[in-house]
Amino acid sequence: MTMWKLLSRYLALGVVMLAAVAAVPARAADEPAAFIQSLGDQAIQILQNKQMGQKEREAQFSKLFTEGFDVAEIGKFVLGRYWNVATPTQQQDYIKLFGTYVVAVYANRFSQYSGEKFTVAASQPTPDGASVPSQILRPNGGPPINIVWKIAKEGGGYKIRDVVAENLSMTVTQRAEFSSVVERGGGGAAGIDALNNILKQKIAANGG
Amino acid sequence: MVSRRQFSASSTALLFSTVLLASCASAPPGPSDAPDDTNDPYENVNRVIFDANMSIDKYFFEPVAEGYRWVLPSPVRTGISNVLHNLKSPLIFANDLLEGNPERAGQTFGRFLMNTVFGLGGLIDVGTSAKIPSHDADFGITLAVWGVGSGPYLVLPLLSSSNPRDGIAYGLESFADPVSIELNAHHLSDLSYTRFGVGLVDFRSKHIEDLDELKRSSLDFYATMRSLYWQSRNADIEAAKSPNNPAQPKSVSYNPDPAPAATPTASDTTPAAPPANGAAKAQ
Repeated sequence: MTMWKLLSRYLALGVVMLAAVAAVPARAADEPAAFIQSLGDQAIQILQNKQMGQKEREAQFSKLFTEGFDVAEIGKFVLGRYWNVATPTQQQDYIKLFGTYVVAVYANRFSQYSGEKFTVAASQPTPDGASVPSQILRPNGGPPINIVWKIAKEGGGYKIRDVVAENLSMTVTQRAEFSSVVERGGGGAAGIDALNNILKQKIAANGG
Repeated sequence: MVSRRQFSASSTALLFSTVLLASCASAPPGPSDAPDDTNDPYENVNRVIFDANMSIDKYFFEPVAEGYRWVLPSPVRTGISNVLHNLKSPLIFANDLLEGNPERAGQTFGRFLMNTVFGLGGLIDVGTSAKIPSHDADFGITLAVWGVGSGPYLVLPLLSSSNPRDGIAYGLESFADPVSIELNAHHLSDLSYTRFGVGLVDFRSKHIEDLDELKRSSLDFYATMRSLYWQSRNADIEAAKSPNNPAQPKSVSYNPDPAPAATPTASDTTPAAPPANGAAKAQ
């Protein structure tokens, strides 16, 4: 089933952050592409630094991730209509937990790096920023993975708002998942509590 | 859990079709009221079947897949996988034509010839090396291109995520598969079953880490699978509708003040420039 092909590539998302940046250097004028390229470069540096211990590496990755991704906005989007249902305290708890959760999950995937190459192509403007296509080339010669980065202009720079790997969107998937958890937890404030609790469990299970 | 295509056990397929037709008939008309387009009015039943599938997977398919991977070296597994995919070519070709995609049909035909003749009966994927990308097509996608709606989300026993349209299409397709017809005509239906069984194991062995990772990270594994299923299915259908505009993921309209209606909006009417390195869609 094609879904499964896409799925394995979707999960390679973590690998993106790491990728040995090669080929196609982004043109100076293409700021969005340069932004993604630079994140990739930094990720590689972290991975290739042999002196770094596992803990240190995860800390560095976490910092890079928080700088590159608009964790707060993604968290809000992912909670969907339940954002407005949550109390201010719940919102605060949730955003904090969400950030820790995403970093923990991606740090796990990040550690599966095995020499992939990462190439960035020219960006296309979108209403609030840009969309940056990229590819991961796998060392074992498997088909390349197409990743599109949705980024938004923020202050002087850019932040990542979504990652779409082979047509599978990170935020759309998480949003479907999170709203299901809230609903099954009874919806409303009770549902948000249920979500926050499961987030805590998942953070623990993913070594965050 | 199971590759939906290499299935030629006609009686089982027939049973599925019947069950599906029945569920089709009882499906409520109009869009479901499930939030965020999960389109899952039978969620309670689906979850029960999903859990059962997961148990069967845990105690049967996964161990078998682990064993398969342990026993056979990677090049052998790649060869088997290539042969299986090559054998699907006649069906893919037929669906390409039915979808009105002569170009894609040409690719499928070209790949089939190259892989069969120069690739030792499909063992070696010469087509991909020659930069003819492979793609999937099935009768469910064809029906979607013809305008048939999917109906609600269904989790099928063993076969996992589906919907009435794709389930029925799958049942019909297993009768129409030229390779199965040929095998059965020569009283080689055992080979058909073998092909189906090996297909399952091959497929499962490729996704051991993926599934583990997804189970570990998901808050609600069922909801994750359902969302990924709809996203990938819709992407396949879009690709079949506009094959010359490949690898254009739907852009998600980002609403900073999320409302239920602010879910993904297709804005793929303008064909965007392909990536600078001229890469084609990877599947």
